[in-house]
Amino acid sequence: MKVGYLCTFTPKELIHSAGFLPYRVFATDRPINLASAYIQSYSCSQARGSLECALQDDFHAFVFTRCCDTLMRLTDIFEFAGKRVCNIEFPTKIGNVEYYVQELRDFIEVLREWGGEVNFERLMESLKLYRKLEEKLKQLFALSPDYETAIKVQQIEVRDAIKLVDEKIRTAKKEKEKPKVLITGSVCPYPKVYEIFREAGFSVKDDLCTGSRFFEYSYPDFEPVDLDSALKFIAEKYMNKSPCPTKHYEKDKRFEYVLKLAEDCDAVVFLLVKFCDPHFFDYPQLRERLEGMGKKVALIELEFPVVSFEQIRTRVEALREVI
Amino acid sequence: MITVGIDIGSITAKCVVLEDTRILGYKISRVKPNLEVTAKEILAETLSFVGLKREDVGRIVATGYGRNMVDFADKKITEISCHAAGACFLISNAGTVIDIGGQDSKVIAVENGKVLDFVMNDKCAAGTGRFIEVMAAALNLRIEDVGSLAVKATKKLKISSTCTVFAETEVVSYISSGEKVENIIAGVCDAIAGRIIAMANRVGIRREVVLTGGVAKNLGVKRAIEERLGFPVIVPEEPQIAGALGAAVLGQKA
Amino acid sequence: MKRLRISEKMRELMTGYYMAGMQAECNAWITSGAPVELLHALDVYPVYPENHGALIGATKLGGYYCEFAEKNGFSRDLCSYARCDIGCVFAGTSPIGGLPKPTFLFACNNICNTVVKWYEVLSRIFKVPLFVLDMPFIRKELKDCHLRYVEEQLYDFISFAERVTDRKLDDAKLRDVVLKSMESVELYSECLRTAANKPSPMTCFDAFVNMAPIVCLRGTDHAISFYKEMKQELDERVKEGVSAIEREEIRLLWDNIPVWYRLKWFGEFFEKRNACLVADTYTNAWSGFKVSRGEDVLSGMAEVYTVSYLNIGMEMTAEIINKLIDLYDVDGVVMHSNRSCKPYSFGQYEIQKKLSVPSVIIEADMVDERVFSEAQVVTRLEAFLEML
Repeated sequence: MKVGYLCTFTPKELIHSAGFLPYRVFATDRPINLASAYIQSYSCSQARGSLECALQDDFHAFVFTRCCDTLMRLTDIFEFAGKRVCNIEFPTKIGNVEYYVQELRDFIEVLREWGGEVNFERLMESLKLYRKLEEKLKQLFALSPDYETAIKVQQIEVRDAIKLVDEKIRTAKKEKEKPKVLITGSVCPYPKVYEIFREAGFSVKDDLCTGSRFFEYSYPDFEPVDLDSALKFIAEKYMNKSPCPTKHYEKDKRFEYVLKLAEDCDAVVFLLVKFCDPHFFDYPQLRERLEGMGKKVALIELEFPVVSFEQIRTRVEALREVI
Repeated sequence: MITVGIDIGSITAKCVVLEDTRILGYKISRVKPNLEVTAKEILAETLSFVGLKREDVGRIVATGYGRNMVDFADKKITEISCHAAGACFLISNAGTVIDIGGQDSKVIAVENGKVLDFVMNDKCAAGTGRFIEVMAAALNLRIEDVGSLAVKATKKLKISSTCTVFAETEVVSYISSGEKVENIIAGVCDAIAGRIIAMANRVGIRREVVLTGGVAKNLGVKRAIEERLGFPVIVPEEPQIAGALGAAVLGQKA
Repeated sequence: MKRLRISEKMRELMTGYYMAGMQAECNAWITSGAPVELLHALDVYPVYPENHGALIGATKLGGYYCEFAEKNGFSRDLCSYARCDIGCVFAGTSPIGGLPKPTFLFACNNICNTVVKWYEVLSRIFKVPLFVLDMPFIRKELKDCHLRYVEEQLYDFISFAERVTDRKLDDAKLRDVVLKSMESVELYSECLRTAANKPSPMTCFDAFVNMAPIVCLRGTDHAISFYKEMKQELDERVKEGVSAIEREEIRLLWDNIPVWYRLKWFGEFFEKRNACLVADTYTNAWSGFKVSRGEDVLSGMAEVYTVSYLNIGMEMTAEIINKLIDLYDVDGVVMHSNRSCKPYSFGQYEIQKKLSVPSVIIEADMVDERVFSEAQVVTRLEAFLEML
């Protein structure tokens, strides 16, 4: 039974340990029709596209975390549309672990209401599996970033995902030295877009939720001994995730993180979804810092479904010519 | 009593002369830059057509985008109330009125001629007659031929863009990849139907569904809407005059 | 429309407020839903960029100042309060000469998550510290862990502010400020409630024009005396049966932030059609800030500010609106689908279906007049009034 979620801060290990399939919902190639009756058009197409999927496909339930205003309200809209929902109040300010652990305890209760039981053994199993998947994805991306796989694994059972990534690692070839571009943004579930960068002659590095932000974690260094400490493990794991514009950190950690990633790149492309407030607020000042570092910067605004890949290709090729 | 309803749209003006419950006649003309002049002229034209004089008319009601420019009208009522009244006059058990005009579209939930709820799309071309105009031009088709061609389609191509400008780009790329014209235009009709149904869902769809406005004459759009709804919709004989007719009907009331 | 005499007083009061800001030794830019009582207890002058934005909107210069931000790369799709405010910083001025440079920034996300991003931008521009008071979204019920999380942060904020300003929070002063804040909120609520009379002595446009003191001066004596006077004037009108508009035939409720650059226009539009917008959900939100529920000031503060109108789930919101519909006995609701305020606007389609009276949605923006389409608004409102 699929339990859909939209944000990489969602504790998928818990969902999995309850016996559900954690399924990352993305906008697809379907035009957005039904969703327009529920939410205004000045919402991002990831939100509208996900709602469209929810209205047309079969899901057992949905889990939301508070990343942005749109997602916050989307929970109630999904519920109004007759879907089973739950919102986990992941804090915007990173730091208070005890508070978030309580949220996770409450989430376990919700999973029980949905028909799934979580216990320590199963949770440890899920944690191990997802950690394995994350490490394998890191391995794969170090050889040659494979966005199609990264997106696919977010919608299948983790054991199958691990097998899939293993296979890809076997056949992956180390990339040649080419000008490197850092793609930064939130989601882009269209593998064709990443291909455009490759075809234009770039080697790709990313800061995206459909890419490395799905598997870049820094794990706490203790071994959980019971359910409570396992929840603490999860809380710390997700709080130490690669910084995201939707969270507030001390010392401008998010900016510093992107600047560090960009160091060995020749260009930075902001691949942003139209109406995405957190990313668009960061964009001007982050761009200034990157240009100050001597990087060529471009902005590509996306809407889903992507209608004109040619437009994107033109922009990317133009950037390549400038390097 | 004889009443006249004048609907000044952004592209066409319509005028209907009603005697109690009998339509005496109507005229449709193109709107000129001066809306008041347009209204005067179409009134004169229609009255002459039905063989009446200004003095014979009991009340004149103006509606449509340019209604506030019609100084000589006894009353001005929005096209929402008028389309509802007009559609119900023609089809007494109308439950949902879908009006697809040249520049805007609206869905009105009605009961016994009264407006229960409504939703309008007056900001964006997709979902209006303008959308078809642009696509037909890209395909080198006459608007009049769109409907009959669309029903010959063997497959329905998908137009994903919500924006008319980008949808045109999609149509052009279908043309260059050799897709058949009838399949492309069927996709265009389906795209409009999708936008319309999305709007309709906001007020709730209740039978009978009546289509009004110029685009209602387009068989391709009608079919596409019926396919999506799963039941037939009713298009009155002259769907374009629903607004003016409704204005005249409302003029009959005190 | 009969102007309330108090509106003139309001202008004087707010001019004084802004001038005092220029002289203040220590000031903090604060979001409208943050617990300002803490600032007063530290003698820190509160600056409200949102109120500044509303003011700019009212002078119809919203688009002008937004452009300064847009030229610097800020997307036109971002909140217009933020664009306008950031634009004024780039422009170096505003209709009132610009706001004083902040000593520190205090953002509370109980009104939206956007303020956190907006204030982050400001903190980089001004290079001053920013404190974010993070409030969990209360979709169904307020949990104990939510309250404790917020309360802990209130203590953190006090340490932060004491450090940055080199002052100590005066406990007694805090209690005093809290009591004053509660008194002004009570008086303010009583003013709004006079609109339940038939005919109503005021319209929501009067409420919008006169809400600045409860937003910016809550916790001071000024707010108390202001709303006392306003209440007196409204009571007089009620006693003499004076109606705010000439003929009250239709009573309506407004939802969302007002269209600041068209207040007079909307007022006249409705008055001409004998419709009175007697109340609204926006000004009503401030009547919920009854700070203290008991002995523990900070715990009471945590609860009240967390359960604020824009931080609760749709089910509760719809309930509140239906209560307002009953209390003010309105015939319909006019909902402003505000491009700049997603938390306030998303969900309106659903709430419409839960209301006990008909409603209409008009699309606009609160401060950016470039987004306003008069023909569209007029047609929808006229059709709606015809429907009622």
